[in-house]
Amino acid sequence: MATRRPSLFRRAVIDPDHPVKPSSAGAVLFIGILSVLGLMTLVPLYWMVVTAFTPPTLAVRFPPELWPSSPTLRNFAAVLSRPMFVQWVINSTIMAVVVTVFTVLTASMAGYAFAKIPFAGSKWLFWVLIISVMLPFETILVPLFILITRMGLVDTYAGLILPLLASPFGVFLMKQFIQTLPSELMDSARVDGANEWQIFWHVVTPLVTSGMAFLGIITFVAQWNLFLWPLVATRSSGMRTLQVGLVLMREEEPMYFGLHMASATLAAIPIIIVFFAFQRYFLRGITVGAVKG
Amino acid sequence: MKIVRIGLALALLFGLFAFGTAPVQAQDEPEITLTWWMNPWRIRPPGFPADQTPTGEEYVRYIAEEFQALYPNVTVVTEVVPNAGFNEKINTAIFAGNPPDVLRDLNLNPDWAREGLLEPIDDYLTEDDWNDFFDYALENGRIDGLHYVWPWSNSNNGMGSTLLLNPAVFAERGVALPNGHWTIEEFLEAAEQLTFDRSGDGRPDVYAVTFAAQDQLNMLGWLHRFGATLLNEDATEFVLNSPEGVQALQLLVDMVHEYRIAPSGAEGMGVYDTISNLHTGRAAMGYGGIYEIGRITRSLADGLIDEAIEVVIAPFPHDPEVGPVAYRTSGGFVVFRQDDDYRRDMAMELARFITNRENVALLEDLLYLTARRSVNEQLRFEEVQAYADVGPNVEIYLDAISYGIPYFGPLEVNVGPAMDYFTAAIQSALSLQATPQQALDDFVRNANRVVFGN
Amino acid sequence: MGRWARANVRGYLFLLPQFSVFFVFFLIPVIGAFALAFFDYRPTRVSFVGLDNFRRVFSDPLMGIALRNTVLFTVGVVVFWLGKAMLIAYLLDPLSKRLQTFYKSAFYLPSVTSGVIISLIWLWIFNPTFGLLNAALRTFGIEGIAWLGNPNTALGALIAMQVIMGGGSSIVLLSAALARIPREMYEVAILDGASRGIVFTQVIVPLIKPVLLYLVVTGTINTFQVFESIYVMTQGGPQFATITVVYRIYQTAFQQFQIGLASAQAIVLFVLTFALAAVQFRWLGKHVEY
Repeated sequence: MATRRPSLFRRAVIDPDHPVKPSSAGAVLFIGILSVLGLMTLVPLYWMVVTAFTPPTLAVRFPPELWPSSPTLRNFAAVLSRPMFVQWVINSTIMAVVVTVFTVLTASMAGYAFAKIPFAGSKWLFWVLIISVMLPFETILVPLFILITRMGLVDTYAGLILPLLASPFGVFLMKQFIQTLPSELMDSARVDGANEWQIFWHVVTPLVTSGMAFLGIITFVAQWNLFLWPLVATRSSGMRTLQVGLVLMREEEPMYFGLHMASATLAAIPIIIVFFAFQRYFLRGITVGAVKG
Repeated sequence: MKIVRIGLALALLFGLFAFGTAPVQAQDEPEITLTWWMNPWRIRPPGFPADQTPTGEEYVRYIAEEFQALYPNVTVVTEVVPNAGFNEKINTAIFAGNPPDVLRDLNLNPDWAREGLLEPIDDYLTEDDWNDFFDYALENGRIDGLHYVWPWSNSNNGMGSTLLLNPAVFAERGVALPNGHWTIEEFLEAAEQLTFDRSGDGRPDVYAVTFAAQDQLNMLGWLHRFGATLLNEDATEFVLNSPEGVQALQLLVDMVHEYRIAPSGAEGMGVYDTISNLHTGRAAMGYGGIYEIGRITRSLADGLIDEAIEVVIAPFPHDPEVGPVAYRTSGGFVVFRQDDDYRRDMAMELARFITNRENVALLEDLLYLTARRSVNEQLRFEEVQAYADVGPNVEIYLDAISYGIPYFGPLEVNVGPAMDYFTAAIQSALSLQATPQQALDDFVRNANRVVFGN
Repeated sequence: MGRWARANVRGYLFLLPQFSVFFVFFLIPVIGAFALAFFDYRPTRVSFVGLDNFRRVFSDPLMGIALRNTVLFTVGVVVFWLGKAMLIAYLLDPLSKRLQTFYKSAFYLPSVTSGVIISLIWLWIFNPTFGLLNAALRTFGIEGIAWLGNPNTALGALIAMQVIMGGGSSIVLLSAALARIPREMYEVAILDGASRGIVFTQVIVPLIKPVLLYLVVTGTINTFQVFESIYVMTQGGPQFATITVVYRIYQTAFQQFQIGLASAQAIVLFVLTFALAAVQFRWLGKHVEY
């Protein structure tokens, strides 16, 4: 029996390899639901960008404008003309990049150990990790800052960054990713004479790139948007990070909403760049074929 | 401006002559570094371009440089700390044993003084300081008999002290502006006229005034109308549920729900709603003092509003039997504990420098009154002269705060933990979930528990 | 090297880089915070007070309200947020790669903005007089209310905001997990004549358990610690309808200067979190391997 070629619509919309393909009507329904939910999520963000381009005015238009009738760049100019703006971006970039690279690498290693290497105290250490994040940051802020002060690291990059390198959730995430890999893969590499590092680097990491990319993105975003710790840990204006600077700007202009939104839009750009640069790894789960080899 | 400068110079000269407190610096003083933290104040230092708006940084940098010029062996490290996170930053620094040497006293906690974390300034105040600073400004920094705050700004932005009226709306409705003090009855009569439907859709789009439950200062302002106070005279108990307090809250509730002279939804609004309603013509009256007139200038410069609105200051309306009441406060700088005598002297010197005649006068740029009598007499507030006849406004404002009381009681009592209960009480009354009596009883019970432990 | 060391050293070496920073900069402060709960900790003097702080925690009526709000908030957010993420990931799975990328990007995008900004935007959406929500309702002839000013709606409004804005990264993670399910597993189930529902509960859920566990545990812990949106949007009001434990901790530690008491409050939250996480691990934590 000759199989009919799927219609153009079905080819554009439905994954041809998926074992449980919806009907065309079902696909339309799926897309409808997704679009409604997606719109709800994007409207606030859209409004942020539109407001950033809208001339500042307290007389908020009602109903709101869908498209700025007289778009302007003056809100952005007000943010960018701020002295030290470049320094803020540099500091935030250093902080976010260092923390992200370190976290992705070391959390993957630790996750691998917890998932696939039996060792004494493994379960116990893992629980220490999980338990430690159950106290809110507001309570560990004071002990942490006392520690940094005793170490003489106040207002240094080291003092700013070192405490951010610990990533219990990152280890947890990578453990969850790695534990679903079949142990036979590692066993056969071991039989071939690979050492543990080679197994981790050549066998494990290629299979969990999506997990690592995911961890990288959420780590980068979290660091980039961090406010309280950079505020407390730094003291000179040359050490200030972007978010701290932007909060100051917003407080100086508490009613200038266009400025707030322009600052937020600008602050989001690096993240969007990172997102699209890595989305190839980030958005696609690795295919199972690769695992099963 | 010139007159101010000359006046200040003369005053300064006189001060030096009379009391001989000129700082003399010996050659062999040690090199020290002082840190000074402050929340953002956009004051234009001398020489700052007139057509640009300053950030929070220029003022502190200017003061630091001027001070360093006087004392070359001292380095002043400044940090502008945002209001968000200010509490965390300063408390964390205190616990780690490295607070700044000089701090603007945002949310000053009396426990700091009791813990011995602050240096009393009594020995450093000169005879001239005692005479020139307003008594209440010094009083505002008194904890257990010692003074801790170098007074600087006076009565903040005027929230809780005075009203701002938009004369254009008054004229549009044929309502006369109050001539000096006015009674609550006169206020209500005007307010009824000032609430109207401009667009013709059957619902009012201009209201007389805005009430915002989360706007603690102005809410307290209204609650004080019939003579109620937050605390009793000895400051040992909350007594806002007095008949006078209940009467005032009932008036607020009536103004929203009965007379409908203010937009509903007051329970969900904050102070910026009152400001934006005034700025955009949705309310004929807002709140604040001279500083708030300056905010209009800045709103105009930022393009937030299209045209300057002319406003005039008026006192809060009063009850004839009670007389006028306004909020009076001040702000300033504290010096943290110093183990080294020389450092203590220099930290005090820095705080004194920030608050000396010449430098407190810089507050004029923000349209703030200062904590110094002699300086206030010289201020002209030229920045808003173009559209606001500031002279009479300053007089009205000064007159209003001459009836001022500290709404929150003395600094010695930290009412902070109770104030969330205050907002909750206003919200429950304004949303008609509780009667004013119930709401204030609730507040007083909880406030006495969390502040006085009974 | 002894037998014990030889057996274990590989694991420890892999832990070393992450655990060295974790021990010094995370665990030590955490232990410090635990210890603080038993002290009256002042900058100039420290005195041991035993369980006094805990007694004060339990005699604080606001703490009771905060605990209730926090639990309600967490249950609401975790259930709806995860439900939404599951639904979206499930609907996306059979769609073409191009559509998947498009939708995943769309759902992820809000995560690029800081929580403070999201909160500012939603303050405007909920604004009673000129907010988007009430404008939309008015076109349907419904008169809106002050969503964040009404104690009956404020917490729900915050939950709705969190659910609508959240989920971007969990969708990505769940999608990846769904794509990793071996196709044969489906085929076997379909040959057995299983319905969609059966395939979902019997095939899909067990296979994505590791990801679900991660999402449920981290989602619960993070939501339990909600602070930023409260601080920006409601300050715990109206009438304490949105006061949460961490907001209360913030007030205690940084407004009232009682760091020991704040730690005791945090430990109460900790016990609750721990109990929930233990249940979640028991429920979802069975080791899974494809």
